[in-house]
Amino acid sequence: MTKTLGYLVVAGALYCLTALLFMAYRTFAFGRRRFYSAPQGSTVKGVFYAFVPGMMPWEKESAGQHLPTYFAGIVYHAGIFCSFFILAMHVSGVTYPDWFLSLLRLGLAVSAVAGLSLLVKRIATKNLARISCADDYLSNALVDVFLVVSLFSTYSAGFLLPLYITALVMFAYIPAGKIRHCFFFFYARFLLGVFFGRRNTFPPQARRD
Amino acid sequence: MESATFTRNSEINERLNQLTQADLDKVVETFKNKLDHEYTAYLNACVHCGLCADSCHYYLANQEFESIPAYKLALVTKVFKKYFTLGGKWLPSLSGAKSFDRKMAEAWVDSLFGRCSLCGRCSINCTIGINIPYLIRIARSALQSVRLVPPGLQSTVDTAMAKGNNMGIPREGWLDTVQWIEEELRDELQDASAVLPIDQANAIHFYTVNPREPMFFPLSIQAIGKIFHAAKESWTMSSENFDLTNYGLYNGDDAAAGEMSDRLVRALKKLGCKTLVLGECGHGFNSNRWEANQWLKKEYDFEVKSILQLVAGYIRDGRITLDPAKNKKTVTLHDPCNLVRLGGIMEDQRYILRHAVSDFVEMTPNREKNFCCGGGGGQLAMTCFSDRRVNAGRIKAEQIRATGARIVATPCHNCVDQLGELNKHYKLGVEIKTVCELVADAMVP
Repeated sequence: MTKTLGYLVVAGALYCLTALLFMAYRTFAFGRRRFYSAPQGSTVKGVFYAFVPGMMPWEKESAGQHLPTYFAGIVYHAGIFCSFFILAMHVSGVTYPDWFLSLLRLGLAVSAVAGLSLLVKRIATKNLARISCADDYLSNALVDVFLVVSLFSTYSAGFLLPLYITALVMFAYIPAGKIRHCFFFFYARFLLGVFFGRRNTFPPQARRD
Repeated sequence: MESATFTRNSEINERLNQLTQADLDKVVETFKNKLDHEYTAYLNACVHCGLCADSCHYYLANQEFESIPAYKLALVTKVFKKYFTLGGKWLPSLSGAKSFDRKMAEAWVDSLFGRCSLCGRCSINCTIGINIPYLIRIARSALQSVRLVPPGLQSTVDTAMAKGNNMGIPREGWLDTVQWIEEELRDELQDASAVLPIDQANAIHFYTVNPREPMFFPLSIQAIGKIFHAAKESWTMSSENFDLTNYGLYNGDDAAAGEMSDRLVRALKKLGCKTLVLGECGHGFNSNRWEANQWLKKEYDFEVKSILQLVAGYIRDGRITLDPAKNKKTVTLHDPCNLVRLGGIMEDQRYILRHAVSDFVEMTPNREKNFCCGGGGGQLAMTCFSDRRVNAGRIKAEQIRATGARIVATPCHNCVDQLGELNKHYKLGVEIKTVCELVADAMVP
């Protein structure tokens, strides 16, 4: 039963990937834009800045002003990668050293707390609640459950079934909901780097006084 | 969807009430035609984290929910999802997808025209990196397709299209003004050879101005004449096409915007000039340096430069000599969003001011992180939103006050106007000058 579900999880992951690729195809079907204006700066440097220095709290004001949310977001997303690792571990039957497993468990636990705190913040903060739609709550809650079940599955095989079912639901939901930003985040950030890099805004040309 | 608070302009309200289903469909169709893979990727990417709120001067000033950039963007993404995503079509309540109806049209006009100066500060602070002002601009384009544009902004575009410049200055009036300023320049320099050349064939630089200069700020043109004369520059202005402004950037009318920019290109070509030089105007720089090529879908075989780049070069090359002691008062610099964050011209103005004034202090934050003064995005032309504009300018006013400066320099005439209004409203007690005016004041004969 668990083994069959494991195959289904792999199929679900493949479906999710295919659906995301289809979304990418649909996105590009709207047409690519050619830049006609002559560049003033480097797109490579712009993209690097957009992904690395431009995400740091001392560079990005919105991150610096909201440090708890910023760090909760980082930990949350790092934990999601850990949970996918755990899922792959279960499905493939590969085992890891205890120290590595302990590290993953720690990551998952902290990540689950961070995810729940972001959900609470969304519910409790008036303006945030007003800009949120059902998808925002559902996506967060689904991922939180996935994190918790992943964590428990490392202690007891009894949690394998709930983990696989949660994973299946999540893989089905990712392309439909806002979790698809797992793809669009990287592309949007890349585009921002290109935009401001060509214009010589990224990276900033001098140190601030 | 939140109910819009836009009830101030009877002309717009009348237009909203007249909207037919065909008009609403046309907005969606125009919006679709403006989409490309970049915009579509951005529209799929917002996670509603809300961290953009504190980056917007409108929200900081009025703390109104409708001023949060994520809300403004959501108005656009709701419509996008409804018509262009499977999830939005099949299960709209999940993602908040909404049809474009009269209520949505009202909300778009209120928020996308009335609560945004397209300054781009939210973009660099966006967790994802969504280019929010460009999405708002294509939504403005869609509204423009059914003439749902605040009248002051639309009439500015209409005047520019009909009369060749956005203030409707007739050719004779322009030439008379230039002649008068030229005489003033000769008197000031005590040099009969000082000229403000018009239609000089094969001059290297084709210089363009904001029509507010001949109308209200002739000293700006005189300052440029003084600098070019001292640098022994080869330059000219056009008797017909001198207006570098382009409010098509703001009302979203790409065809009109392209035509306005192309007039400058045609005039430059006709005179055989090598460089299009843009005077001190932020949106004019963004329009003609970056956007015009996209509107016209062509590459240029000539350079497009800001006057600041030329003047900084003159100082570096020793073609003009400045004495900073001639400008003793403390000077701070306001960075126009379209020139700096969206235009990439950050250091030339600083280099110039460090040579032209004896006490230069920066605002905090500055450069690409600067706050908009509130005058961009066509706000100065949209009188129906004047109260909001002045209120949103409070953030800039506080920045200025904190520097203790007596002079605010800015290389943009729209910013000069807004800062002048903020100066009076918030009793800042400062002088507002352009960068080139300070250079002219500091020049050593």
